[in-house]
Amino acid sequence: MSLTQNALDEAPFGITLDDIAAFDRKQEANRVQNAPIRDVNSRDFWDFMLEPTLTDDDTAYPADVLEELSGGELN
Amino acid sequence: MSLHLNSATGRYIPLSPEEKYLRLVKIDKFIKRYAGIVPGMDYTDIVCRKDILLDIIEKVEKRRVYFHVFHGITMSEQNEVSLYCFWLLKLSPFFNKKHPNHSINTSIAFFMLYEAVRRISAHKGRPFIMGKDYAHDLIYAFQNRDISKEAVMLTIKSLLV
Repeated sequence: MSLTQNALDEAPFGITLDDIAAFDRKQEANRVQNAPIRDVNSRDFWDFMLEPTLTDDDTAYPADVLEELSGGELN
Repeated sequence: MSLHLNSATGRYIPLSPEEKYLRLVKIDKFIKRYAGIVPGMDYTDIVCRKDILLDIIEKVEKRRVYFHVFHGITMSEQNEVSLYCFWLLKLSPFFNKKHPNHSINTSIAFFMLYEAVRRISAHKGRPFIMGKDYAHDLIYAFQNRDISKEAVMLTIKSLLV
């Protein structure tokens, strides 16, 4: 879609095409960019959550965290 | 894993029953692990409201398509776990029949967040330690405050420094 010179001269609210381009660049920069760790083509999120890790040692699960997880209701 | 998007119509394609079933199998394993780790928790006491859990699985999948279509990004583990946490807290699919006062959905959501952050940190070779005060505050917030999906995402991001 091309704009006529008359339309460009209007600069509604004082906003120009340059302002819009700058806004778009800022929006792009703000985009959340968290790349997945796993290979998404072969493993889904739950594969990731179930896979054994080097730090897997259920017996060494932090006591503080376990206490909070039970919420004082299970003992 | 193909994206559930009809490229011709631009519409979301619902997960097939088989796909939902496979996801349920994995979630069930995860819940068994949760029950095995939390003291006093017995897996057989956990009751699940099936329709709600199936709904949550579909909601998360829809969000994957949303991220792809509107942001052009592949949903990361930290965003996906945030969505599961949010919907667990919002829709409460689980119930502890032996201890009805146990806030099991809060507990599972926290466990899920903790496990995800622990795993992501391990993959990135970064240490992860959560103190009792932080764990307590986060569980309190999960239980009593209105937390958005994006707030959970931001919380996880802040734990992954």
